[in-house]
Amino acid sequence: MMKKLLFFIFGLLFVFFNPTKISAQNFNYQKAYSDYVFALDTYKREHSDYLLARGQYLQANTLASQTKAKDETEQMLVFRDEVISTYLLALRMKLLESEGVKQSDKDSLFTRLDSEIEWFRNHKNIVNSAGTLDDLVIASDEAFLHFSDVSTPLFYEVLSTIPIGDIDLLRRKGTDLSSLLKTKIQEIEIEDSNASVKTMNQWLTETENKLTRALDKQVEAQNTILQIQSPDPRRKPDFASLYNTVVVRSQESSQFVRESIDFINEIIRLINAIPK
Amino acid sequence: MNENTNLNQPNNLPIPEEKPQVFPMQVNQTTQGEVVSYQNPKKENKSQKKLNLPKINFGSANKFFKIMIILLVLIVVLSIALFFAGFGLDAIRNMNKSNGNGAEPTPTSTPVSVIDSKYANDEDMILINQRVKDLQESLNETKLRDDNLRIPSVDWEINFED
Repeated sequence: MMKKLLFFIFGLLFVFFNPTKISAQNFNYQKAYSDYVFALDTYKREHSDYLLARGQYLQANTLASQTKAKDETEQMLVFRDEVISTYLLALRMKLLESEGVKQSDKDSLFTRLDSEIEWFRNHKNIVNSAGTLDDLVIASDEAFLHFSDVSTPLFYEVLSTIPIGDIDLLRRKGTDLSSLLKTKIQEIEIEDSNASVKTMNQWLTETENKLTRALDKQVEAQNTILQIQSPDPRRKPDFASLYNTVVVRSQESSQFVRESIDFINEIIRLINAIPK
Repeated sequence: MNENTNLNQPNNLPIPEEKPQVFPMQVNQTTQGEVVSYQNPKKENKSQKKLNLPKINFGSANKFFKIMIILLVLIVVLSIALFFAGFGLDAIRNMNKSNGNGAEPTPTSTPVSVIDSKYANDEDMILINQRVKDLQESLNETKLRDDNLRIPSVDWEINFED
């Protein structure tokens, strides 16, 4: 009985003070980004070694230089996969910390990001098991094909979803403020017949117009994401250009929200000018 | 060999022996047969020149002129001193400004007639004001383009052909 109790207590302690749980809680976007930067730096060093070994092999063409070239290429390819994995993880953390993105959108993207991280981790094993230089070249080409066809559209989709989520959150906050102010103006209209409610309502309409234009720009940005998600099969889309369009539309939307806030401030000043 | 003969001379001619210059002694006599002094003629010339200088007569009429010159010189010196003192002050002022130690005028708000508003302490208005501030902060902090997360640039063209 005592033994069972002791096991139970230790079990509880393990659950509450599990080190993996604590480290998972501390892992955030900044940490993931630092890991990515570290992996990228290591890859760059390995790539330089690979270039040197490759050059020596092509010049000397000896068995020793071939073995050296194989080892260096293997190392470089492993770290290249590591760079992509850590980048995907940083993107995942950035998406996780974005308040504006809907949970359903997040879940869908998390599944795809996890699948990509898994693919590149598995690919490291393929690289490690390669017997010859030709095997390594084949493994590298395979990774490139996957990167350009599957990973790249996903990168741009995630990168575009984040600013749209941000601007959606800000715009919704602006709309909520406008609604609060509308209710307050209605109260003032009932309480104080002398107050210039007509002007307030006119200014509020102007504010709402700004927020509507912000929504229009947001919708334009969302439509651009659709082109990234399901590109035209007849021609290869320019993902970078589409992403830039999303950012520009989001910035335009943000500007309209900013202007609506300025209008709200003016209405507040008008309300505060009503004497007792 | 004769020591006055210089062998470096082209014709080996003997150099004539230099004789020491002897100044003639001048004798000033106040009384006959008594020697008072004897002088070098050069020194005598100098003393004679000094004696020949034209004498300026500063009479009482020129006193006013002298005072005027002294005053003029004083004015010039003072004006030069003031001129440089001005430069010095400017330099000190500039130094203080650059160090931020200068006594800059403190901004004071102009008195505004405060309207005793009916809604100044209204709970809803305080809440709206706070939310407006929060939204403005969020707008300023939001980075819509994150350049840190640019797609990594890696080498995909791996081959071992020349």
